[in-house]
Amino acid sequence: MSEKITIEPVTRIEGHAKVTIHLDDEGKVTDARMHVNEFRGFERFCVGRMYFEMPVITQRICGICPISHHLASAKACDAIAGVEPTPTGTALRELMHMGQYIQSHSMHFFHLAGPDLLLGMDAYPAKRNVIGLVEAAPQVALKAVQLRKFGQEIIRMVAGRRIHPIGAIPGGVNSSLSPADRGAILSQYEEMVANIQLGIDLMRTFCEQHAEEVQEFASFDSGYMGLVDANGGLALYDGKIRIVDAQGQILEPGCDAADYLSVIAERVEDWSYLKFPYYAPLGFPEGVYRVGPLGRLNVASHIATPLAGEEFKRFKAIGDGKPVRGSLYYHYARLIEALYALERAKAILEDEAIIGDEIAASSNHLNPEGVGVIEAPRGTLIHHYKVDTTGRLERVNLIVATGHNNWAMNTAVKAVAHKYINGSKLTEGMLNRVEAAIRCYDPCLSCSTHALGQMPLQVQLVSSRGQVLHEIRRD
Amino acid sequence: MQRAIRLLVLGIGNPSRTDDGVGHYVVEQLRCHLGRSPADTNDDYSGWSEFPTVQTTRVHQLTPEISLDIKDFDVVVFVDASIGCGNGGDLPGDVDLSPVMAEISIAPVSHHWAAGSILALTAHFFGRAPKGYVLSIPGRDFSFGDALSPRTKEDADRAVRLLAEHIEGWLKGGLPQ
Repeated sequence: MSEKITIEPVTRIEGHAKVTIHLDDEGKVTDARMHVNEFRGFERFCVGRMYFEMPVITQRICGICPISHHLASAKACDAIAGVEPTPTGTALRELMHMGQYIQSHSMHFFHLAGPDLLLGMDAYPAKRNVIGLVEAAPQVALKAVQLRKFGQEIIRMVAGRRIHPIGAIPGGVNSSLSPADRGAILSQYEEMVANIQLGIDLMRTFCEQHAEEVQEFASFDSGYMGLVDANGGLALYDGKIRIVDAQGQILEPGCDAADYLSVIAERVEDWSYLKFPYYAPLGFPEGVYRVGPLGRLNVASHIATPLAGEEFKRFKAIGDGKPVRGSLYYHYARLIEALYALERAKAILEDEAIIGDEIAASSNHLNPEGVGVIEAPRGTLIHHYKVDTTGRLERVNLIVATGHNNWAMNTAVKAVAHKYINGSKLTEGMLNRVEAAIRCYDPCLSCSTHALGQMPLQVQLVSSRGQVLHEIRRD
Repeated sequence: MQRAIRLLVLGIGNPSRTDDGVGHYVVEQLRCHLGRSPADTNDDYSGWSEFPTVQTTRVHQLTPEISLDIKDFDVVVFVDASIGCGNGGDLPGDVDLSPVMAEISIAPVSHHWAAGSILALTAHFFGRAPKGYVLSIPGRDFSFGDALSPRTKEDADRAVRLLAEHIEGWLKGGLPQ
């Protein structure tokens, strides 16, 4: 008799999802899927608003990465207004973006992924969470919280608020950075670098101690996508879209953001509200790709800052010239990017442009459409607006990082379920590994559809006739 | 000479969701009640001249890094909307000012922590935590809007007076053990 296991909701992710695992008569996995069962419809209800309102509307999509939506939206508005932000405006935007990377990446590693990595996948569930982490390693948790506060303070100083920023406007930003704030950020730089390097050391240790699992856990072929700078290096605020295949061969060396529709198409499945983007010239599923930290580091040729650049070389050595496949390496890549964000923030702050007076450029143009692309912490974020002759929005298209990774998360769930789930001897540790596969991608389901869910874990083993055969509940 | 009690009033909520913004409103009105202008930013920790050790701030949600912000205070009052607090408070109705234990609980997401968890996190990190109180004001309407519903506004105004009395009492007579 075939059976189905349901994990709902998936825990330690931002948002609400469930996983179903289908078993055959012998208890072996036949299929597994991650369902996103939230729906918001931002694209629809923004239609009719004035385009320049979008930076402060779309930042409400998410409480974790509002900066990304704020800045992608501002960049789309720049394109509609036909305006190039001033050097100071650009620098302040990038600085707030780095603040977001520092807080988001460090918090994910320590708070969401940390319990699995530092306490163990099979640790007692009541302790395998941030509480257990704080109790077991309070100084490690403290450093994570310090990093988050540091990033949030950068955002507050530049964007006006820690959450739901109001700093970016078409053409630049609406306030300058004070010399005192500049000094306050720089004064903490060395301590924050040490905190991130502690995380990198912990991750390296985990990789050494669990070498086989790290290599094999949710490891599969895919393409990769991310922004790169003019030299092919890692770019988080601005760049061109690069896509490589599973062997690392470049499919798109540098697509302009405005041409994203020539390389990205989306597929709809009837069992999820989340679409499945893919590389259009190859079709679906041949053109599926991954984004986010692993995707970005797999498409980039180098990282321009010294400390992260050296760590990047160690990361690249794992793939021996080819892309790094294992999903657990997302965590390593995430920390390397956090280090880059710190170094990049320092470089921006040490440039005198950061305290310039010309913070925004003006424009009287109105183009019929505009595209803004940015690398959100979870991956490539695209805002595309079309307006009428008064600047009122007629169409809005948002492609968010979690959407790009939809296929990958489903594939990761399937791979882990096949490897670890035994329907005849179901354990909580097996199911946690399925969730851990999703956590590698740090999905933000609030971004991709939106709405917060309550987070107890319910796992049901259900027969094909709907009978609950087994249940595990985590309140 | 005994030093003055350091006290933080922390308003919580989303001012764009009607009564969920009551924590922000109470902070603003408390400042007015004691002769100060309402804060013009969401992150104002400036002290008052009359009560230099009393500070205020407003946040959307409780996040882990707030544990760093509160570590040097003796008392933190978390002001938030409630959806059904009891009648055991100091005022008629459902406005309630109660101590909160430093007790960590699982946060469903990284940006949504409980007051007790923030206090417990502070204690884990620094070996001590401020004494915590939660001032709850019943919310009735959480739809989109930036004005409080009439009954919640009445409750909030009473909550401001209650809090001001407690603050003055704590500063003059010390905290209850």
